Amino acid sequence: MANFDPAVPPGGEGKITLKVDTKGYQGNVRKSARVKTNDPEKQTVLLVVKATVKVPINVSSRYVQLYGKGDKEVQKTINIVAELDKPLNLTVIEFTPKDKLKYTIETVQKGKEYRIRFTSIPGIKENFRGILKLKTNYSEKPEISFVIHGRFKPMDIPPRAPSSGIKKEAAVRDANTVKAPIYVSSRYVRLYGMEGAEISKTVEIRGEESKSLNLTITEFNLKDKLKYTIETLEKGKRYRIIFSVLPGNNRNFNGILKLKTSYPEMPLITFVIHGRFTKKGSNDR
Amino acid sequence: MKKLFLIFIGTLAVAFFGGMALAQDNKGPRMTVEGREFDFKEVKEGTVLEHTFKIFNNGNEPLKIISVKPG
Repeated sequence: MANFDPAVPPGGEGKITLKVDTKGYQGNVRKSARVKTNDPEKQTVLLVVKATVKVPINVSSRYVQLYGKGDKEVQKTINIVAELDKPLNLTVIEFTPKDKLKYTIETVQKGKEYRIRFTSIPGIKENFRGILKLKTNYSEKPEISFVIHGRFKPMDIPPRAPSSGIKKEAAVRDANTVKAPIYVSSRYVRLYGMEGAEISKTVEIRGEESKSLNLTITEFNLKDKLKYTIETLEKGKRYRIIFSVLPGNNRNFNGILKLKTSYPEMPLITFVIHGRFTKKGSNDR
Repeated sequence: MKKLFLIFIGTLAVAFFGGMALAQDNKGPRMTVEGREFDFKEVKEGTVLEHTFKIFNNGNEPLKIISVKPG
């Protein structure tokens, strides 16, 4: 929100006030405003307010999205970290998609850090949504809710003709390779959502049975927009990359994450990342 | 004496043309902003951040703020 003096006389002084509600935010928040003026040399000026928003309980994501074909388990993990100087206890008070999904709460550090692991039940061939609600012993944050989306309904999407650039490159590479030595669940990371919401996406990378796979990051050009964590699911074999949009980003972005692999036959894996945000009327979280 | 006069004239000329150049620079509206970025550092969730940026018009015509939109 912004208030401003519409005109400033020659030699005069004016004000532009920016207001940002941090409700529902955590971590680094950066909000900018584009000021348009009749100054021919400064037609647009960018003003920025930023802050580090401290929350009593830090949650890696409030949205749990599980996508798959329903033939095998799909997992998603959420980390919960206590930020206050007192032990945190959690109790489940509501969980709706009981027959579609199971969850486990692991204690990473007693009273301090917990990990919730959501696992889909194989055989589910439908879409679903639900909620997991936790009660906490923190009066500052008595409840934490996770919105769960499952997409397991088979879709008949005709294959699209590759359009341009990297897509075309990928298509050519795929056509020349009978079976890729490294399985990558998706090379396109699409982070779409409401402005201000926590948006994350997971991709999985799997090497061959007999050969150890190691990954090294060689390029990542979205440091201020996005964070990623690489989880080792099975050492030298299966990895998971979780991409999460950093709070405060509401402008669309495109970028890449490039990984070097230990396989000479597939030395590089490139992920094309798109962030697309839709505006919302008010911050209602 | 003549030398002194010449220096005087020279100084006058520099002041005059310099002034003209300066006037040329300030023709029209000219905006300057006092600090374009403000860091609140650590805040508690739910805090409403509010900051006022001061703007100055160093030109010789009114400066209009046409719009301020989330950037």
